[in-house]
Amino acid sequence: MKGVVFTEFMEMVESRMGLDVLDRIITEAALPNDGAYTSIGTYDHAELVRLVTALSNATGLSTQQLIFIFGEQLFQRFSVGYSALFNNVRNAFDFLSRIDGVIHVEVRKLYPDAELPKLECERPSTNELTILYSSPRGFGDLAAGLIAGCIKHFDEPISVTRTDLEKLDTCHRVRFDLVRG
Amino acid sequence: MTADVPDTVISRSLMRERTARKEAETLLEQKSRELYDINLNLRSLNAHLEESEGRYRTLVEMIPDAIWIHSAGRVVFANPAAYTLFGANTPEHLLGTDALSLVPASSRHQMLEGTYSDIAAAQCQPRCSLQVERLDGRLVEVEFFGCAIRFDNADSIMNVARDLTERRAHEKAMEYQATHDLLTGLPNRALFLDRLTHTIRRAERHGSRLAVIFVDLDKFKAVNDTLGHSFGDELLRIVAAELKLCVRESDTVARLGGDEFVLLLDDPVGPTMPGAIAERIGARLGVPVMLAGQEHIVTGSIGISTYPEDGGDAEVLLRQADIAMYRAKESGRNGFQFFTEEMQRRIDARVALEQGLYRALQRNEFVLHYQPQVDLASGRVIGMEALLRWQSPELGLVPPMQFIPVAEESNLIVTIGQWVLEQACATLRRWQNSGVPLVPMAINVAASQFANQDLDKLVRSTLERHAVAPRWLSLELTEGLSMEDPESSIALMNRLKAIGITLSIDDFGTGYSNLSYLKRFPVDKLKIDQSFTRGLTFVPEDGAIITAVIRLAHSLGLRAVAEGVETIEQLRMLTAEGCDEIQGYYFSRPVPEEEMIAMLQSGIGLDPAMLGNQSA
Ligand code: HEM
Repeated sequence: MKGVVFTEFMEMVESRMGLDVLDRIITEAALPNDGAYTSIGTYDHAELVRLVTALSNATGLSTQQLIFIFGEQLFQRFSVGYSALFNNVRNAFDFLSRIDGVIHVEVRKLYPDAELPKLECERPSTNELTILYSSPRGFGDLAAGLIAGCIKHFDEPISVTRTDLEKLDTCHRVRFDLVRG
Repeated sequence: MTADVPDTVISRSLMRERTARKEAETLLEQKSRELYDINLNLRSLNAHLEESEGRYRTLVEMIPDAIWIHSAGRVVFANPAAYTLFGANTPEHLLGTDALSLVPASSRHQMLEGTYSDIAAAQCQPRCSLQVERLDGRLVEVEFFGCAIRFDNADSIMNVARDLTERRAHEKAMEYQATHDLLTGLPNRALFLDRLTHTIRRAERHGSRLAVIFVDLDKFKAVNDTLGHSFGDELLRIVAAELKLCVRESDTVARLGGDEFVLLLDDPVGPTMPGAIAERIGARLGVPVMLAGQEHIVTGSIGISTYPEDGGDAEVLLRQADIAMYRAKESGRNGFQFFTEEMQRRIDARVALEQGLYRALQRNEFVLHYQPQVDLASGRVIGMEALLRWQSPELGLVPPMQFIPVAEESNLIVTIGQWVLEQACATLRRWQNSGVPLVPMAINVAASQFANQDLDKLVRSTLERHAVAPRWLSLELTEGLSMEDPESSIALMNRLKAIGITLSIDDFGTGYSNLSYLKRFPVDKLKIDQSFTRGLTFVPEDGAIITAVIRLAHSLGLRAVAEGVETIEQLRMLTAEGCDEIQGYYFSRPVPEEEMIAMLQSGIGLDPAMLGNQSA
C-alpha cells in the first residue's frame, strides 16, 4: 500500500486526536519502521490494519467506523491534492464512474506498484449507480468512506445502500447501490 | 497543543519524522535517477524518431507522386510533386486552399470512390483515373487514390496522384507510330483500313458513297536504284504532299508501303468524281520533280474501287482497287482503271490456275512428251526435246502457253523446272536400263531458273543421282534470259558446259540478241523460232532471216536447228540452206513416252534421198 495512505491516516489521527494518541497507537501496533512513513514509500497494507485496530482500542470506535471516517477524510484531501481530476466533472455519479477507467489508471501511471481495487459501475437509470468493489485487500469500508466523501464533495442528495457479497476466490466484494433524489 | 504533550512523545515523533525524511530522500534520489534514465531513453528515442521522420519526409518530398493532405476541407500538407502538379510557385499557394477547388466538379464523384477508409484498403485497389484542376485552371489527368489518416491529431484525407500527361503523350506517340508511315507522316495500312471500315459503315447508314483510289508509282524502283534511297525517300515525300493536294481535307491519303499509296474519297460528289480525281492525280504526278539536281517525271498507275458498287468490305475494296491498278499498269502505265467484275474473274481464274499448278505438282499431274529432232545429213533421229504437259483432272489437258506464264509469275516455275530435270534424268536412266537406244534429251530452262546461280550444281547432282552421262542431257535457254546480267550468265553457261552437257539457244531471232555476247556464249546450237519456219515458203523476209541465222550459226561454229517444220517444202528449203537439224510435225508431233521409245527402237528416220541434199 502506498505511503500516502499511511501519512494521510496519521495526519488524521494527529489532527483529530492529538500527537500522543498517534504515538500511542504507533507504539501499540509495533510497526517494523516504528511509524516512520513517507508518502512516496510503499508498505504492507496489514500495517494500516494494525494501526486502525490500535486506534479502535484507544477510542472505542469500531475499525469499520474508523476506516469509513478515514475514507471520507481521504477523499476530501484528494480533492485538494488532485484538483486536476475534478475538471469537467459535474456530479458524483460522473466522478465515481470514472474511478476505474480514468482515475485509478492515472494513479497507476504515477505509482506503478499501486495496489488498486476493481470498481465496476453500472447505471440502471439516470438516477441510479451501482458500484461493485472487488479487491484481495478487503477495504470495503474505505470504499464506503471514499464514496461518502465524494457525495459530500458534490453536495448531492444521494443515498447509499451497502451489500457485502460473498468472496470470489481471493477477492472481497461489496456492492454499493446509489440512488439520487 | 503540543505544550501538554510529554517531551518523550515529541522526541519520538521527531525521530520518526527524521527517519521518514531520510527514507523519503533515499526514495526521491532513487526516483530522480530513474527519471534521469527515462529521460535519456526518451531523448534517444526522440532522436531516432526524428531521424526516421526525416527519412520519411525525404521520401515524401522526393517521390514523383503528388501527395497532399487536407483536413476540415483545407489543404494542410503538400509535397513538392504536388506543388508541381498544381502549378504552385510556393507552398503557401497550395496550403490552406479549399481542397475541393483542386478537383473539378466532374471528377469529384470518382475522387470519393477512390478514397478509402484506410491505407490497407487503398493499397489493394487499383488507382482510379480522374482530373485535377491546377491553380491556373488547367485540367490534368491523373491516377488517384485517397485514404483517411490522422494528421496533426486531426481526421484528414491523404490524396495521392500521379500525373499521366507524360504517359498519355507517350501512348499517343506510340499510337501514332503504330498507325502512321513515319517517312511521309501519312496514315499507314492499318489506319487506312480502320478509317475505310468506319466510312463504309457510315455510308451504309446514310446511303452515301465512297471510293478507294490505289496509286502505284511507275519505275520508282529505278529512281531508288540509280539515285539511292535518300532520293527515293524524298520522292515519296513529294508524292505524298502532291496526293494530299489532289483531295479534300476530309479525304484520307495513306501509304501502304513501298511505292503504293491509297486514297479514300469520302462521299464523292457524283459518280464521275473519283475518275476526275484520278485524272488530277495522274496530271499532278506527271509534273517533273527536281531530284538530285535533275528533273524526273514520275507517273503512277491508278486503280479505283467504289462503294456500294464493288461491295462493303474494307479489305475487299482495297484489293479491288489494287487489282484495277494492276490492270492500269498492264495496259500502259500512267492511266487509271475502275475495278470490274471481269478483272475479278481473271484474277480468280489466275488464282485457280496457280492453285491447280500446286496441286499438279503434288498429285503428279505433269507428264513429259517428246518431240524427235532429225539430223538432215543422215536423216536419223539424233535428239529429242522433252515438252511439259499438264493433264489436269479438272481442266483437262492444259496447253503450256496457258500455264507456263502463270507458273513463271508465281515462281512455281522453279519447282516445275526441277521436276522436269528430275523426270528427264530418271527417264534416260530407265530407257538405258531397258536397252532403248538413247539420243540426247533437251529440256527447257526458264529465266527464273537460270537466275539461280546454283543451277549447275543441281544439274550435276541430278545427273549423278540417276547415273546418267552428261552428254545425254541438253539445256535449251531462251535468248532473253541471259541478257539481264550477261557476265554472270556467261559464267554459269561455262560451268554448265563444263559438266559435259550441251546447250542451245531457243527461239532464236525473237529476242534482241547482242551478237557480241552471242559470240561468247559456250553453246552448241541455235534453234530457229518456228514463226520464221512457218513463213519460210511464202514470206520472203522470213526466208532471208533463216538464211542469215544459219550462216551466223555456222560462222560461230554452231549447229542450226529449225523448229516447227510442217511441210516437205519447208524441209527442202531448209536442207538447201544448209540447216543441220529439224524438229516439227512434218516428222513427228510431240509423243508420249511409249511412242518415243518405239520410235527410237525402230530406228526410223527421214529418207536422205527424199531430202535431195548433197549426199543424195
Ligand atoms: C481523486 C480520487 C482518488 C484518488 C487520487 C485515488 C487514489 C488512490 C490511491 C493512491 C490508492 C492507494 C493504492 C495503493 O496503496 O497501492 C487508492 C486505493 C484505493 N482506492 Fe482510490 N483514489 C481516488 C478515489 C477513490 C474512490 C472515490 C473510491 C471509492 C469507490 C476509491 C477506492 C479505493 C480503495 C477501496 C482503495 C484501497 C485498495 C484496495 O481496496 O484494493 N478510490 N486510491
